[in-house]
This record gives sequence, C-alpha cells and structure tokens, in this order.
Amino acid sequence: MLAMDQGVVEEWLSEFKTLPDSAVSTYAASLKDKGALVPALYKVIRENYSDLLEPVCHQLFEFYRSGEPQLQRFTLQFLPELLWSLLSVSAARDPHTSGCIEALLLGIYNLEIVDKDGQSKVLSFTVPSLSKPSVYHEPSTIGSMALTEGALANHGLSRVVYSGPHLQRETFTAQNRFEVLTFLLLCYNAALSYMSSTSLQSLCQLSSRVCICGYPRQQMRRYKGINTRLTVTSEFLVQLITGIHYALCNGEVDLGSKALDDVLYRAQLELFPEALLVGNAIKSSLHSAALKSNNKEGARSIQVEITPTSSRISRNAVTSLSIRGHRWKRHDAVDLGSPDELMDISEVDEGVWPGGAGPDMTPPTITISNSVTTLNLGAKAMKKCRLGGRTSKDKDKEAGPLMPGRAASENAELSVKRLTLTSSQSVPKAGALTSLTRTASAVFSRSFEHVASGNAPPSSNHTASEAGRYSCSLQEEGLAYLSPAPNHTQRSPSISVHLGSDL
Amino acid sequence: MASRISFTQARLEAELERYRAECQWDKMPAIVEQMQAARIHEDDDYGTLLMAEALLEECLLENMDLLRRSKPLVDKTQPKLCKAKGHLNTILSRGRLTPRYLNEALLLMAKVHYVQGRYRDAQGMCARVGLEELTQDDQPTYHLRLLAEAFVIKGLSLDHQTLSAVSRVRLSEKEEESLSCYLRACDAALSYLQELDKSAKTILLHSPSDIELGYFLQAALQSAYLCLLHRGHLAQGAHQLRRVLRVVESRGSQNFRKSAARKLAEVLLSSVSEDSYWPPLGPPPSAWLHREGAAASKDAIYPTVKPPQRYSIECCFCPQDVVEEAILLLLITESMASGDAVISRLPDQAEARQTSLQDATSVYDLLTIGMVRRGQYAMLSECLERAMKFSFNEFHLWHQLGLSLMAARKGVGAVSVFKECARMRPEDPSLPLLAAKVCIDQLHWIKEAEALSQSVVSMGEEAGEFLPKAYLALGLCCSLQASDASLTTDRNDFNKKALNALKKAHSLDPQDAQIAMYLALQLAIVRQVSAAMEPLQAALSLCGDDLHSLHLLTLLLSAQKHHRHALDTLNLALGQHPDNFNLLFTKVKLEEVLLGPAAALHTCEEMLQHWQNRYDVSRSSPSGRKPSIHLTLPDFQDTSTGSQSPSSVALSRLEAALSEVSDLSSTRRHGPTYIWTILERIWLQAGELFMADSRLKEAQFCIAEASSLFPNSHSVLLQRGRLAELRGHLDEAKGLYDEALAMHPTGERILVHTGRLLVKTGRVHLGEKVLPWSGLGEALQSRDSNQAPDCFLTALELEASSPVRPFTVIPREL
Repeated sequence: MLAMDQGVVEEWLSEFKTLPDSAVSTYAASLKDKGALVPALYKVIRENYSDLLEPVCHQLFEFYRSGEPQLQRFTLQFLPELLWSLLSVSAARDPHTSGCIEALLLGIYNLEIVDKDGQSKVLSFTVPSLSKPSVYHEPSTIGSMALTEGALANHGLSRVVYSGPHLQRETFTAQNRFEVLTFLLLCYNAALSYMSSTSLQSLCQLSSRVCICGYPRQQMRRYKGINTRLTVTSEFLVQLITGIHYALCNGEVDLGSKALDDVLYRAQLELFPEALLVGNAIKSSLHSAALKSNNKEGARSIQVEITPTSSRISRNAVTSLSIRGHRWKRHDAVDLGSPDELMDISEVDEGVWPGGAGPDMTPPTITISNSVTTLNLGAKAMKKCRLGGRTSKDKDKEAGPLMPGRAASENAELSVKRLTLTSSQSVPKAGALTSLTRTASAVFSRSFEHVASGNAPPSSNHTASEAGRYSCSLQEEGLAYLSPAPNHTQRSPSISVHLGSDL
Repeated sequence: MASRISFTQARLEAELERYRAECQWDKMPAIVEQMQAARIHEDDDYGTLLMAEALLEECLLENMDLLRRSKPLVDKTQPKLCKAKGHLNTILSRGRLTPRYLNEALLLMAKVHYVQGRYRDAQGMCARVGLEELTQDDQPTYHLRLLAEAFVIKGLSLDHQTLSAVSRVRLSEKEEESLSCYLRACDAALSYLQELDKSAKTILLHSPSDIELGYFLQAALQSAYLCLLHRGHLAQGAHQLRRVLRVVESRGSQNFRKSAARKLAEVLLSSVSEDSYWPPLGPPPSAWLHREGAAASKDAIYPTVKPPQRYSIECCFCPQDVVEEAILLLLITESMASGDAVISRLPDQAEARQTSLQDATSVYDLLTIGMVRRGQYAMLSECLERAMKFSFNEFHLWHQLGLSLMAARKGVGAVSVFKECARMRPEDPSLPLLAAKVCIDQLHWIKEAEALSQSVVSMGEEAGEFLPKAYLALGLCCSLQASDASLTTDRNDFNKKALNALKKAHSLDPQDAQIAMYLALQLAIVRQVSAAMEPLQAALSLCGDDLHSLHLLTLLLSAQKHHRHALDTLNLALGQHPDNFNLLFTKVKLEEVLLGPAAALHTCEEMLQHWQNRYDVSRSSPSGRKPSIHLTLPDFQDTSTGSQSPSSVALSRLEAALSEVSDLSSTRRHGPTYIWTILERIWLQAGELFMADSRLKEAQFCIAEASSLFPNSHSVLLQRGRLAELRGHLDEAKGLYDEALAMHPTGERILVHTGRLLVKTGRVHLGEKVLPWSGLGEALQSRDSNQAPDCFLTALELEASSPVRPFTVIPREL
C-alpha cells in the first residue's frame, strides 16, 4: 500500500470524528469529491493484513449507523468487496480471521433488520391482480383469458412477505452465515441505482469467484486466488444475479455477462431452481434485446418499434385468443380422401363445456384410439359430432383383410389420431392434407405422440384397451403440460393433460 | 354556400372524414369518383389532394420496413410515391385550396420530403403548416392524426439534422425542440385513437384488429420515450412511459400499450432499484432529473393542448414498489401477448409464430425476473403454465416452467416437465438430474429418481461435470431403497449398489464434500464404521462446518462408544448450527447415555424454548417480550430450598407449560406440519426420559401434550403403551401397541415393545416373531432354547457398532 493512499485513509479516519452533527450531510455530499479515497479503501479491504482494516471497518460502521443515506451508501458500496474478503478468508481457513469485517457486516445486518422504532422489519409487497383496477388498467378491458385464471381465483390484492422478520445475530455460524449475507445483498440491491461502477465491478467479481473457485471453470477464468469450493445457497445466488442484472444493463457488460455465466454454471451444478430461473430469464431477455439491436444497422437515431398488429400477423393465423372461435378437426391418416371426410368434433365456444362434468368439474375427456373413438363431450356435443358412421368405417378398415402394408406401418406412427386444429375459414382442399398435418395443433397432439412413444413400445399397435391411456382434456385456458402418471404408483396409468387450476 | 350543402354532399363529407380518420385508403378512389359525379369540390383540388394522400399512405404502408430503418424511398422504385408527389406539386403550385386543405397538402408534402430523406425540406414544410388550424375545437377526428404526424415529422426531421449541427448549444437546442415535438405528437396520437374509438362506438363497424397504425402514427406514439431512453434519460423515459400507459386504452393503442408496458417493466427491473423508486403518479425525484441534466419533467414544460383521457386515480391499485409496478405492467402485457401468440404451425405462418413467441417470451422472462425477486414461485408457475399453449417444443419456456414448479414445490408437475425438456434436449445432463432431485427431495419417488440418474450415468463422459452428481443421485436412491426394503437380500443388494455408486462419485470428484459425506454415511449404514471415517475426514476438510458431516461424525463416535468425544463433536456442531433439532435430538440421546435422563431433560427444555422462539410467530407480538415455556424441572433447582415435593413442582410447571403451548396449538395451529411434528417429537422425547427416570406422572403430561397435537400418531400411541406397561396396565398397553402397529406396521420400536410385552405376558412364541436379536435371545432363553446364545452374539455384534440414533436420521437428499 502506498504511503499516499495511507495518508488519504488516515485523513478520512480522523475527519469524521471531529465533525459536528450539523455538518454531517454536507460532509456526506462532499465525500464523492475525494477521488483517491474510495480506491484507497478498496486496497485496505483487499489487503487483509493491513493495520488500517480495523479502524476502516469501524468508521464504515459509524457511517452506516449515522442514518444519513449518503453515508450509508458510502459504506454499502464496499459490501461486495467485504463479502469476498469474509468468504475467501473463511474458505482458506486463514487463522487470521477477519473479525472486524465480520463485526461490520453483522453490525449493518443488525441495524437493517429493525425499523426506526426497533421493531423487526418485515419486507412485504402487494401481488398485483388484473381483476382490480389500477392506475394502468381497467379490468373490463382485459380479455377474459387472463381473468379466468388464478387472478380471479385469488382475486383481490394479497400482500406477501418476502423477507423478514430476522433475528439479531451476534456471531456468524454455518447456519446463519448465508441468511445474513443474503439479507445484506438484498440491502445492497435496494441501493443499486446509487452504486458506482467500481462497486458493480466488485460485485461481478465476487459473483464469479464465489461460484467458480475450486471448480474446473476456475482455470478457464484464470483466477488465481483461493481454490477451495465455497458453499452457496440458491437465495444468495438469486441476490447476486439481481445485482449482476443491474450491472449488465448499466454499463458493465463484459464483467456482468461473465459473472452471469459463472453463477448459472454453478447454479446448474448445484441444481438450484430459483437461481437458474432468474439467470435463464436474464440471459434470454438480453439475447432477444441483442437480436433487436442487430436489426438496428448502426442507427444513431431512434428506432421506432413497429409492432405487427394482429391483422398484419395474418388473419388466418390461429392465436391463443382466436383458438376459441376455431373448430376442432379430426382426421385419421394422411392418405385420407376429401375434406368432406373430415368432420367437426365439436365447436365449443368460450370454453364452456356442455354438461357431463361431475361435481368436481373435471374437464371432459376426449379419448382417441385407432379402433374406437369415444367422445365424452356430453349429449349436446355428441349430437353435433355424429361419430357413429365414422367409427364403424374405421373398424372396417382395421379389420379388413385388404389392409395395405403401408397403412399398417403408418399405423404405428399415427397410432394416436391427431386432433388437428385448423382455421375455420380455410377448409383444406384435397392434397392439402399434408400441410394440415403440419398444422397439427402443436402442443397437444404432438406432445401426445411423444409421450406415447416414450411410454409405450413404439412399434406396438395400440389396442382398444391401451387407448384409454391417451386422454386429453382440452379447455381454452391453462392447457398446461403433460404429466404422465408415474408408473411406480398405483394410480391409473393414463396420460392426461393437467389443467393449470388444479395444480 | 353553406346553406346549400346538399344531403349527398353532407353524407359524402362525413364518409370521407371517417375514411380519413380510419385510414381506409382503398376506399378513396371510389369516393373521389362519387364526389366528382356529384360535382362537389369542383372548383378546388380537394379530389386530387385525397388521391395524393391515399397514394402516399399506401406507399408508406408498403414500405414500413424501409421507413423503420430510415432508408429513403426512391422515386424510381416507388411509382405511387411519384404520383402522389406529382399531385401535391400541382396542388401547391395552383394554390386553389382553402387554408384548411392547404395545410393538409403542406403536411403531406412534408411527409414526402421526409420519407425521401430531405429532412431540412420536411422541417421547412412543417414550419409552414398552421398548427393552430389543427388544434381548434370541433375538428374532425383525422385532424388529430394529422397533428400527431405533423409533430412527429418535425421532431424526426430535427433529430436527423442534429448530425450536421456543429455547435453544442445548437445541438442541444435542436434536441430539446425535437423532444417537445415528440411529447406533443404522442399526446395527439393518443387523443386521436381515443376519438376514433368514440366515433366507432356510434357507428360500430370495425373489429379491433382492423386498426392498423401507419409508420408515422407509431412513431408519434413511441418517439418521446424512445428518444429519452436513447439519450440515457432513464427517469424521464420511465416517466413518459408511465404517462402514456396512464392513458385510457383504445382499440388502436393496444399493441402500442403492449410494447410500452413491456419497455417500462424492462426499465424498472433493469435500472431502478428499490431505494430509488418513485411512485407512478408523481414526477421523477429531482436527484434523478438533475443527474439527467433536466430541471423538471418534460410534460411540465410542454403542456398539451388536448390531453388524452387518463385512468382515474380514485380507489384503484397504485404500485408502491418497483417490482409491484413491473409485475402489474407485465401481467397486463401478458394478457395481451399470450392471447396474440400464434398457435398455428403452418409453414407460411412460421415467421408470425416466431415473432409472437419472442414477444411473449420476453414478457415471461421479465415476469420471471420480477417474481423471483419476490419469491413468488407459485404465481410464476401459473403464469408460465399459461404460456404452454403456444410453446410446443420451445425449450426455454418449458425449462422455465419446470424450474418454477420445482421452486414452488409442485413436484409432480416439475418432474413431468423436466422429462419433456430432456426429450427436447437429450444431451443436457442437468435436466434428468433436476427431475431426480425433485423425486428424491420432494416426492420420495425413488424408483423414478433411480431411472433418471441412471440415464445420466449412462451418458458417461458426455455428462461432463454432472457425472459425479449423477452417481451421487444413484447412490442415494439405492441407499434409500435399501432402507425401505423389507427383505435382507434386497437390502444388501441395494446397499452394495449404493456403496459402489457413491465410491464412483467420490473418485470422480474428490473435491465434492457432499459426495464424500454421503459415501461416509453409506459406509456407516453398512456398519463399516472405521472405513467411514476416511471419506468423512475428506468431507470435513473440504467443508469443516457442514451440518451432516459433523452429525455423522458424532454418530460414528457414538457407535465406537466414544460417547464423550461424540458429545464434544456434537457441541461443536451445535455451535455452528444452534437451531438444528435433529442435532439436538442426538444430543438428548447422548446425554441420556452419558449423564442420565435428568441431564437430557434439560436439553429437552432448551429444545422447547428453541421451538417457541422459532416457530411461534403468534407470540412475537408488538409487546416484544416472548413468554417462554417453563420446563424447569426440580432436578436443576437447588434442592435445599425446595419445600414442595419435587414432583408437584414439576407438575405445576409442566401444567403451565402445557397450557401455554396447547393454547396455541389448539387454537392457532397453522404453518407447515413439520414444525408441529418437531414439537410432538420433543414432548415424546421428554416423556421417554421421564419414564426412564421412573417419573410416570411427568411422562404422562408430556405424552398428553404430544397426543393433543397428533392424537393418532404411532409414536404417541407407542409411548402411551409404554407408559401403560410401566404402570402395569398390560392389557391397555397391548391395545395401544396394537393400535400403533396398525398405524405403522413395520415400526421397529413398536415391534420390539410389542414383542417384549408378549414375552412378559407369557406368549413367548408370538413374541419371537417380532423381536430383534437381543430380544429374541431373551425370549429363547426364557424357554431354554439353545439358539439363545447365537442370538445374543449377533445382538452384541450389532450393538458394538450401533450409534445412539440410527445413521439414517441424517437426511439423504440431493
């Protein structure tokens, strides 16, 4: 450490002590003019053995305790560096423990977990709901889609606690260490807008190091500090990612994206869903932003974003919204004849399913098999469907001795008849069936086949008894994902599409 | 003149105005023809003006992409533009139009100049337009459109010229002027769209999708905030975004609102931290404005003539926090974006599908960023589920859904989603492992987890750094199955497989403390106690304060009968994990062995206090002082001062404790079940200790306390049975044991006690069926069987390596 730096720090240490209370805020405002001070303080924190470390930590705590926001932020800017110092020392089993850093961090923590009156602070937030009017919307203008969901189920605004109450801590233990550090990062993140780029860089470095030390990736990053693995928790990583996100979007692109990759690397190895969720989301949103800016062709002036209106998308395109007005078509095989042979299963509007549903409102099931097609849509829909003729024809085909070999081989592929969704105004002409197949209403039918082939021997012809396995419940909303009933439980071996609401 | 306007003319004029408001350019030629047929506007060039407008606008619609990229339209390739320009030149040179229509012609000419890249000329034309003409009351709706376009063309022209501006002062002047144009353009455009809605309501002709905004209208709507954000003025940009989003939605503004809301959410989440947040209805804080070099927010400086209607601020939700606002905006956006997502998979709609998917994905990504910050995993998973209907084979959204379900602890859903993800990306080893983790930790689907981890194991080298983890998962699955197995051969098989897998994992990644610890645990379970020490040491040197490692060390020491060392280790572990009940239960057992039941009871009391401090939220009332449970027992009091009989003191204190705890347990028993299970176990432990100390009355109170929590739990029934047995009520005890067995037919301890009781009551043969080695030995001995010594020997061997609590109390989790 240079003597000059030492001088700057020593001066800083002495001047605050003599400051009258009335001058604190002007002093706080003047701190940012001391250009050499912050780098010198970073040096003190990095050099663990410096004699100045203890008085510096003490002073930083005094700043924090003063309650003056600018002084508190002055202290907070060193938080990433202090965290790294603490974690690396404890990982290296350095007998020279950084007691004063621990004390400073615990001190900040104990100040932050209580409010002005000394009561435990509880951080909560209101979960917005579209069913309540807000300064930005009127529930009546929001499509019924969003409102039929959970929004209405738990209508009204609920307030949830996302941090606190926390207990006062006198010492760090293995049990509370990450609880304290996570909370401190939460405080740091709350003040991100006030943090200098040096501090953001330090946060990115902290994140990278915490996540890769001791792992093969450390070589890749050419970091030569400690090489023992540090324990982390998912919540701690989530807080790091929040800070990295800010850094990434506010000037620290290089360090930020490196740090994000490193945290994601670790989160993946640790199988931490929370950190992976937010990390993936940030990565994906940066990716799409990059795609957009690629289109910009170096434009200096602003780029108007031309949003394709729905009419420009294509009037024929089936969207989630328009799907309600669409008809469900069913067809058996690609070599089927004219469109007349395609028939409506039913036209259900606004997701109200006719009759049949039990008291628990289980959605109706369409069970499709090669030989028997049963539609459980209730009497009203059945009338519309008139499936009788079709079904017997099907049977004839299957049972007939003249079944062509090709059809037999296709049978496996088409063992599950597809539910094909087409736009109602474009009834396909003969020959257009291949493209119709491609239209295959995506999520439902294809995923079926995949699940089907995954669970049943692909070559087997599906018999009527097997047919019961493939059932799908369609509803305009919340069509979620396939959940093959686990074969190790005694539950019915059906594969069903679960709907959002009952999960 | 005015009085002689014919009915036809009035009708035609109204129709014209409507078409011009609604930008129905294709209708123009026909109506111009009708107009000429009716000999209206014969004496001026209005018809030509209309044709010029229609041609120009159609040309602009066709060249949206070039416009967006600020590429000038060239005469050669744009016949419509050429024609329109010709018309306009004729009109302007003839000068036969009334001022109102002349204004319109000038504006159209400005547009032509702009799209052809002559920005200075465009600006000049704009300067000649009498804007007051367009802002008067009772103007036709399309004039608001023209107003918006006039402002935005002026602003954009100024912006394009800043490139050539030399002086800094001049530059910032121009920048400021263009910004003021954008702000006005935006308000005018929003008013226009609202007016359009109003007129449409009376006519009711078009469905919302028919409204297609031209380039200049879109530019008018977006330029103000885009310009502010582009210049790095985040606070002012966010403020402008809020202003436009506060404007009541109209049919035409939906798409614009969608992107504006997303933009605002993006700005809030990426650049506004909690401490710097300011509420949506107020202007940005002066500190922010100051940083951006502005004195006040722009809307205060440039008030609008005709402001659009805004949402009421009365009795509605107004966000108080940055994430609240972002999530609100994103939910609004999501309701639109997910509705517009193209599901159809026709090849010719692939591009539309891709665009709408990207659109929706970006909304879900932002929603994820916001909700994870607030830990709202359940709500997030519901949102992502909604995205599934258009996300066929879209890995990212499926992956995110799986992760959100896992984080929300909706295990069943998470597993099926991860399996689907693994189908999409079979090369990614993390996906089956995530599913396996859910299976092991949340669902206890061990077979499923085994298959999943096996699939990663069989990837071999391909699995990269995940391979050790896969072996670990496999090992844990086998180990857990061994514990569940009822046949010895099965158990041995599983244990062997577990050990092999864990050894492999450890050899692949000796740096992994968790793997080393589980290897040690598995060795301990198969009673290779000294062999277990080696990997355990490795684990502890990697992570010295690990809870499970220290706990295992304690149990191993106790298995070697080094009880004193075990207790020391345990205290070390408790120093690092003071609130861990699992450790505390081990401590109780150790103390019972080492120091006797009375000392152990002291720890039980501590545990009760811990429990109350930690889980009894109802007690942390504003008064601050937490009343504690008193299980202070006579043994720990100075006996000389005791005037009451010890048991009565204990009794009264226990009663007090009892009422205090049961008060909350009966009336306010909420929170997760496991915290109540812990309490039950503490009471039962205390009860056992009292029984060991032959203090049946106290034991009864403890057991009663436990049974008030879970009256039918098998452990409660077992202890009640033991108490009855100790009191000599053997029939009652038998009944209770039977009940306990009915609840938990394989419960080892229940079987032991039942067996002993059976032997005691002379039904030795029946007892033999359920007793363990030592008990069996006793039973056999009691009828002088010569197999008894063998049994005792086996018992002794097992006893020699058995810890104070089974090794399996250490949770096996991935």
